[in-house]
Amino acid sequence: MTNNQHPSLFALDSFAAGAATSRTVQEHVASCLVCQQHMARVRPDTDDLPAWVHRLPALVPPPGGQASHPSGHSYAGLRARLRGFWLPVLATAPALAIAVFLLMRTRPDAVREPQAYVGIKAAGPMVWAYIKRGNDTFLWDGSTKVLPRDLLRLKVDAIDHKHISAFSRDAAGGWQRLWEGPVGGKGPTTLPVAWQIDSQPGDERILLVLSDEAVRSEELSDVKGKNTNEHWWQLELVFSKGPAPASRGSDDLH
Amino acid sequence: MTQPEGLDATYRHYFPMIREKCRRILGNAGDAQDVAQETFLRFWQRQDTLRVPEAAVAWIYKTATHLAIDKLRTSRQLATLDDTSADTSNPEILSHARDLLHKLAKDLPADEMEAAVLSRLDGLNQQEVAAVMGISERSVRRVLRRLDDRLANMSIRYGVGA
Repeated sequence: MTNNQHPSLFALDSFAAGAATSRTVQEHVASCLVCQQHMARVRPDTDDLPAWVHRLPALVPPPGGQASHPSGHSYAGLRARLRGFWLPVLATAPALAIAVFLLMRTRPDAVREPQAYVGIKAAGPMVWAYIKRGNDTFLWDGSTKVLPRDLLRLKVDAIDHKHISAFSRDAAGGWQRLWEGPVGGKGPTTLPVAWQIDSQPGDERILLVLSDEAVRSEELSDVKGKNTNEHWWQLELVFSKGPAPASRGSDDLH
Repeated sequence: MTQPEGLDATYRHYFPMIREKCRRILGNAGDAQDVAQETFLRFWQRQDTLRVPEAAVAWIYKTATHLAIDKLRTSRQLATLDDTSADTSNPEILSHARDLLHKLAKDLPADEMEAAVLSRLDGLNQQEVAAVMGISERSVRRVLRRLDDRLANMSIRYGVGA
């Protein structure tokens, strides 16, 4: 580094993090407004912790730690990961706007069935449901009520399955196809669509099917009777819906 | 100096750096926040093995770079560039380099893309690139030479250098 050159950002960030730093770098920073500005941007944050950080201990324990459900229940077996936030994409990509579907109204009298919401079955598929509410995004914990205008998005680790299909309950009690597509390679696939919760009363139900090929329409009439096997895996997600907030901003998608 | 203890201190200490790093690559503040959160989450999981600041920053650079490149590769379209976070003495050069990286993200081999980000965008010298990538300086030189050859063949000129 010469007097006319700035240290690399790596060197500045290491300095800011408290790493041993050469006298040359320290002297440069002391006399360089540009580098001082960078140091100011990466200095420790004093703002309040955002909500997603507060949730980390419950979702992802540090090594040796034990995850716990926010309400106090154990998260044993749940390999939830808070990641893949999509809200910025929704906010900045008008093309995706057409992919935001209104969830179909579900039957108010639908009976809630106790079942896993986001889960893992042995070494089987896993599903994560993310809720965007205003400027906040969180991993659904299986019990938190969704609210009208919330955006819902799913991430799926399909393991060996090749195809993902998502359906919502229609007014007649059948299933309406929301989205389907191939699994996007190894590892979790974030569905490229988000669904907005409507203001109609009743739970929102989404049936997620992992299969070897696209689900045929005739198969939908009897999905409840299908057994999970190596060629077919399904999970019904039931989202209880709360009342619409008294006042919500008009910029939920931003 | 060791790492700050606890989630609160760890977040306050490292997240601003992670966020800036991601902004440099992605430009779009929203995408950057997305990747920064993912990076911090992984860092939080690994914190016990990253007690030394030098190791922590190197790990953050490597992981954030990988995740940001993944983001670029999977983007259906070029991100909306937002230069309000540009932290260089020459924002135009940064913007040009970033725009170029966005265009190349789907074509460059992983190691060349990583080296391009670290060397051309973050301004790391070869020794630092080697430390972050976990390869020898000789290998870094080879990767960068390959990168430059490829860019020359594509008749594309980089506008920023280390």
